[in-house]
Amino acid sequence: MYLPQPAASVSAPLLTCVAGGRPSLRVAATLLAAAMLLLPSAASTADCAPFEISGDRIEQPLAGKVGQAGAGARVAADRQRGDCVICHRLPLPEGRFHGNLGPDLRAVGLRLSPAQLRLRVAANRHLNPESIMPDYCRSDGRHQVAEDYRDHPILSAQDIEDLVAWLSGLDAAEAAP
Amino acid sequence: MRRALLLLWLLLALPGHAEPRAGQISGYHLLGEELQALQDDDFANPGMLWVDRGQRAWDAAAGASGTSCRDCHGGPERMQGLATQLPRWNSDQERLENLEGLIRNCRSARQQAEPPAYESDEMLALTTVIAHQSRGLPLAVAVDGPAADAFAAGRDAFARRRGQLDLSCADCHDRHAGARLRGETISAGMINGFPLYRLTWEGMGSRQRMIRWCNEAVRAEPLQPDTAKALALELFLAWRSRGLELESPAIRR
Repeated sequence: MYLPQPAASVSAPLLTCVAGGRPSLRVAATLLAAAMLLLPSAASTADCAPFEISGDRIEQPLAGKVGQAGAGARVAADRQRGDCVICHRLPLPEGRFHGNLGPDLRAVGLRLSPAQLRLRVAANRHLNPESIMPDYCRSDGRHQVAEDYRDHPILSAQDIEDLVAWLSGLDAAEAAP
Repeated sequence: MRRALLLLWLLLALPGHAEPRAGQISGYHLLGEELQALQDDDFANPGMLWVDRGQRAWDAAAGASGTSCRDCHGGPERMQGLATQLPRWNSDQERLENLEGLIRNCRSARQQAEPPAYESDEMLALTTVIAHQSRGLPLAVAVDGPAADAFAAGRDAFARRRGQLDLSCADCHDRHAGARLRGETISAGMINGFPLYRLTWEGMGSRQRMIRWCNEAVRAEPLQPDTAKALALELFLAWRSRGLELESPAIRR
């Protein structure tokens, strides 16, 4: 089960750091913050990165990040981040107690491309609104979110790129017996 | 013949009818033999400790009135059946009332005492001893008449996705009941065992504690236990569990 724990990183201190120096910079940062508040659409700020869907794919890596397969395996196993084994069978030591709500992913690299995997992790409900799998890159339109997680997508762009790098390399040969 | 069958089907489908439907599976059946035996043995069931504590709390005088529950109600066995009907509509207060709410009202209005806090030992002792009097009786809440609006709100709350993980109660406990979440089987969300002893908590908890736990698990702001929304959800869950035998104090993982 997911156990609640406060989100570790909050992006709010960023502007304060920028504004810490010269007064002119502080004024610029304040103006920037005001401009961001006035933006009519919150969609781009609510996502882990802007992305464009074509068919069943997101072609471009999120925020231009380069994924690392080893880091992706850690995201998949981490209960506070991906926690993929809660629903999927995966070649991980934690996979011994995997769930079966979602498909077996031990050979997912043979059937889905990185671009297809990216959409399925980032915004799966675009493909199937009824799916139990949430959109890991999105945070808009959510209801009753606990304060610590409000306006934060479940995973960062880097986490998702790491997952895509790992998942796209999975083939049944690696699967644990 | 066909018409008679249709009529029978309609009767069975009426809300509030006390026969369990397909898909209504008490969490008891997910326990495994060992834990089922623990629940069934009143001398081993840890929840029975709260029944004993509840007996004592029932008899203890409290507040400015100097009265106990027994002074007005007689023995706790007089509460037989009550827990199967809760939450129910309180027409004076124009809101739903669950077992905790009834006790808190009685405490402050009649005994003139500080009402026990939600999930306190005293509250769990009293709710457990009262619910225990209905063990074996089918859950049968009223969801029509003045409770109809609250029932509809509870049905909506059950279906509404929430939290950072954007999951509804129905996503797991309706559409995926019986599937495995990591090593654990997802329950059908039946609430016929409360108050119950949960191994995860190493202690007793109410229906509202379980609702709160689930909300936190999907990273949602937990519902406060005495709000209209929380009580409406409890009413809907009790209706989903209608016809199942009350098991308090049940054991659950």
